[in-house]
Amino acid sequence: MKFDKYRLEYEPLAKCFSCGNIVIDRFLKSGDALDENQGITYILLSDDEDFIIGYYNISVGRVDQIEAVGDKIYYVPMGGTVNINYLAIDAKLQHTPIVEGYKFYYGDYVLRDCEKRILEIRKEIGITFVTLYSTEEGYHLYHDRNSYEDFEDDMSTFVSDSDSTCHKLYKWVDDIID
Amino acid sequence: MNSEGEIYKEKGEDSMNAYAVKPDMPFATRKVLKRTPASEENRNMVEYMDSHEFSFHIDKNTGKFISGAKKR
Repeated sequence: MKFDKYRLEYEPLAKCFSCGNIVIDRFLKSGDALDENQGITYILLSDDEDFIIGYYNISVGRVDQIEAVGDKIYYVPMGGTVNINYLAIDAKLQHTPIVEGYKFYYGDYVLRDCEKRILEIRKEIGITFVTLYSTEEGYHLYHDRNSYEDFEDDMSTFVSDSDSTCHKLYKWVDDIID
Repeated sequence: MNSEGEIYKEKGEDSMNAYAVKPDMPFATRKVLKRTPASEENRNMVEYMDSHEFSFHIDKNTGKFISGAKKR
């Protein structure tokens, strides 16, 4: 297996990728995954480079501290972030341990590569947090297995209706295992 | 499913599809975000992943998925 930056030549493989979530599939299959203004996409390929096992897309963002002064609300930058915009595993390999008998999965492996990359990026620009919106299906991977924390309910000031089933999660970059 | 498989199920593997979707709203908070050091289980998993190389291919004759790991 190998990770590679997603390029135009991988489009035929992307057309076969299906994780079961239409939005996430569409992002990879459309030109959006090649648009660096929308983040950078990395894919995990099979040994023969004929199958996309999974992918993730990352871009920068920030977390703000909300401060009320009188009747005014201020948003003070708390720290720079790398946001995991998309992360998914092909449906054929979901729930599948990478190695029989070991309790970790392709999702863990893709997330680990993402975190290692973030540690490298931090050497070039300041990053304090990793942030993401996890779907209900992905919550265990991040929160239970890889030590991501919830933004508590009263922190979720801006959750729109479309995101009501998602979980806002974060991790301090300092807490990524180096 | 073997006994270990049952453990996966208890840990929520039935629904672990590793999904993340792009937010359309900012992250903002009124509180200090606490640090969360990696759990022991998380550390062990990462240590194993970082110390091994993994392979995966699809058998062209049978269509079966074949994976493996070897120590770096």
